[in-house]
Amino acid sequence: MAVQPPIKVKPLAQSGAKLRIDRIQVLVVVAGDRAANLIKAIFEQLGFPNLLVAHDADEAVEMMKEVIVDLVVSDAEIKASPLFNDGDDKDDAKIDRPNISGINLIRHLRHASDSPNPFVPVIMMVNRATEASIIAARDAGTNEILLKPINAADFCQRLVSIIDSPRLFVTAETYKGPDRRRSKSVGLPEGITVERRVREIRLFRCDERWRS
Amino acid sequence: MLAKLITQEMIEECQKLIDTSKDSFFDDLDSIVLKLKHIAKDPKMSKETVKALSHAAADIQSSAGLFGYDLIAALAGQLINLLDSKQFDAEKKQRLVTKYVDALVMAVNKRINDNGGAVGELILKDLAAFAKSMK
Repeated sequence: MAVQPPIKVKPLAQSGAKLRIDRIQVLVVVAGDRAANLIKAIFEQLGFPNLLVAHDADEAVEMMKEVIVDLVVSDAEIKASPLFNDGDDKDDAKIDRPNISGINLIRHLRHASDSPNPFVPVIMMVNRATEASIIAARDAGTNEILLKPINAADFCQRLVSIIDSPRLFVTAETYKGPDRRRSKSVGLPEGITVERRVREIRLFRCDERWRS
Repeated sequence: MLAKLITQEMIEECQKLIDTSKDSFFDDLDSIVLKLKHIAKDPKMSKETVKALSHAAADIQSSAGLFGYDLIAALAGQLINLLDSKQFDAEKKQRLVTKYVDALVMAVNKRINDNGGAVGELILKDLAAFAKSMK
């Protein structure tokens, strides 16, 4: 398979510009108030003042149509909605199946023609016990996966990674999302295109919103 | 650079927030599951009842999940699925909901950590069998 040459992208971390946390709009998507308040409190502790909370996928998408969101932190297990589940009625076999509407939300954001922002960086909180959910979250186009139970060090590490070292956004026949390969030294396989637009949007945003 | 803005002290403060929430998790839940048990008595399973149960279960599921209380998160998640289900009439749904709520109350009262091991597995199997028998 032919390989395209590596694309050089200067990480934000190397740019030297000052990051303006106060300009970053975060959307937290968590079903329960208690968990949402905890995630909000963590962000506030880290100095992020612009926080929105949605309790399900519908609410998240509606909010993203109204407000430019720079970062989504979503629980994988949020309440299903007709738009974001598989469309089947739940029978008894499905009652005991984990609900992964958070992952369906990301699929929608990445792929839907009316997506409010296909390129938005996403941190997905996934149950450690459900390996299938972890793989599904990655394949849906999640930028960073945060395993539950959460701890502060991992949470901060994911945030730093997503903001300081954003990955290229790639579009392939079966995948749309951040480049899943961490190595920057390899080129892209044939048939995969990089959405340069996301670089432009991100750099523009950084100039206009994230940096002073 | 965000890495330079986040100090070790900030990370420790964040961890304290998580630990404090985790420490009070079961105490907070005691009153919520009792409320759940009371609401679940509605034989008609009205829209309001289903909404109230679903809201409380979502609250339990998401916080239990964050802290790694997998059995409680699974029970609450399955309760949400059941409440959304259109496969059961009101009477059967009420019986099933009661069964799930009872299991949740038991798991909270016994302060079951993680997935509950063999006991947790048994509880989930028992509930699945009960749901199947209701169909």
